[in-house]
Amino acid sequence: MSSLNEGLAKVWETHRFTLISILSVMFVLAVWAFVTMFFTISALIIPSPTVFLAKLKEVFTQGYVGKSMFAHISSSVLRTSAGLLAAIALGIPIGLAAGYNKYISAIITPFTSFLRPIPPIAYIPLVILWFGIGEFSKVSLVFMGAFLYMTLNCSAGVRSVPRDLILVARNLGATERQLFFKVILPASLPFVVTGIKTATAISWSIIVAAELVAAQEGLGYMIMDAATFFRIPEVYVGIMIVGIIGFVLESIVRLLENKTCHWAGK
Amino acid sequence: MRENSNVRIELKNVTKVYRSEERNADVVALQNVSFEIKDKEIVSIVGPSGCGKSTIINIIAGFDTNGVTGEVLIDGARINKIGRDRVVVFQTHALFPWLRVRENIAFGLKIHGLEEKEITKKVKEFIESTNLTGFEEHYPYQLSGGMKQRVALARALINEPRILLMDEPFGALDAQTRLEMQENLLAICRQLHPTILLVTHDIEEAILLSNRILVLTPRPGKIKYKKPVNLPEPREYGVVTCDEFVSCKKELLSILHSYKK
Repeated sequence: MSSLNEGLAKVWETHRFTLISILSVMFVLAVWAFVTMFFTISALIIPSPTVFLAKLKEVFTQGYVGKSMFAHISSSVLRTSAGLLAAIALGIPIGLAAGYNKYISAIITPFTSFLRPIPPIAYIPLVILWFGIGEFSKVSLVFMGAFLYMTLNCSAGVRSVPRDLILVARNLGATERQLFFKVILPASLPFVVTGIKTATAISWSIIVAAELVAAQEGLGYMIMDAATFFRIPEVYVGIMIVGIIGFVLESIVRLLENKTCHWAGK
Repeated sequence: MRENSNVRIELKNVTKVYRSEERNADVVALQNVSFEIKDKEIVSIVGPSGCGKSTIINIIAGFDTNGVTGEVLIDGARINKIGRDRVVVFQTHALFPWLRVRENIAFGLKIHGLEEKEITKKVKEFIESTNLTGFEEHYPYQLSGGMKQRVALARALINEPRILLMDEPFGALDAQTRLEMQENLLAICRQLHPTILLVTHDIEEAILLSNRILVLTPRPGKIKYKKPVNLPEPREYGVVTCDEFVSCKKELLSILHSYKK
């Protein structure tokens, strides 16, 4: 009996914060079940766990409005990835160049400073005006949001490279090219990866917002369409899937971060 | 006309002026600093903080050229840029945090395109001479302060510089580790005989390690005293209690004390 207690004490000692997180989630789920079970709340406001799970199963087996869940999820993910990858591919060189060269920085800073406080979804009407309601307008919206953060983080990364590291490299005879590729680039990597992390989160929220306005498929479209036709449990299902996929995307980037920047901040 | 062929470093009337934005004025950091360092000599610079000790290192290294007048000669030739013949060891160790110990040490050789096999051989040699065996694959963040500084020393020495410029290299270490590093440095000097200019605020360190000590005045830094240190060679930590050491320390302390206001 006492050894069981000791065992439990040990589990608590090493995993207490994980356990607390699990308990916290379980508590909220329990409140949800309790409230929907014992108070007469319409499923149109808050569906009960059973209704929710049934709907979840339904949309995954039968799809939503004639399209499979896979089609909705993949179109959202593909749009995000296309805009995000383009932003990463262009934002890294431009951001690094701006951090490295004060002239380039002087050219782009007025624009980045002006655009930064504008939420990308404010551009939705413009983007529709310019590019229509096709795929390109959504991808370009993601690009606009993500590119700004990539550029800002990459240039901040270059500017944060400790002066001593640059002096050491020069002292040991590095050429300008070697200095860039062997010191400045690796030293800015943590900032670049933080940029990717922020840009990923922003891209995902932009695409869902963009799909709310104009789309024929995608998770944002599903949420909006379900709300329009008062299919509230589907709205909850859609929101939950958006949350889970956002979490998965972030975990992928965090994996990349741990792999390449384990040395950062230590 | 070169008066003495084994003079390695020579400063002639070096003055450094920089613009201070907050004071909105030109500040003289160094004033007519002249000295010579002979081949294989170890010379320390001591002085009150802010007197421009590190500036001298930066000027000789070629890091700092703005507002510098006078001449810096290495082996009789004027220097005008950074050179691998004069390698600096920083107080902050300045290791590349994303490179393993062996990669940090190999940095200079790699940049110069030395053959991989040759690099591996030399790195192994310097890892042994700086007591880093077993830590080749570690990253800097996994090392203690003293070990980091040994890696920095190995990274500098592997390039076989004729001159080692050390800017308070052991200043951030605890007393015990500092002592180990000083003995380590003396052992390495007996092997490789680089010419060393050491900036330090630790008088005992200066006496223990150097053949001569230069004392800088408060800003604008001028060299008022040049003090030869005649201690038995090879130097060992035991000398800190001998008469010559103690009298040398007393003299330097009284000079530095007189600078206090």
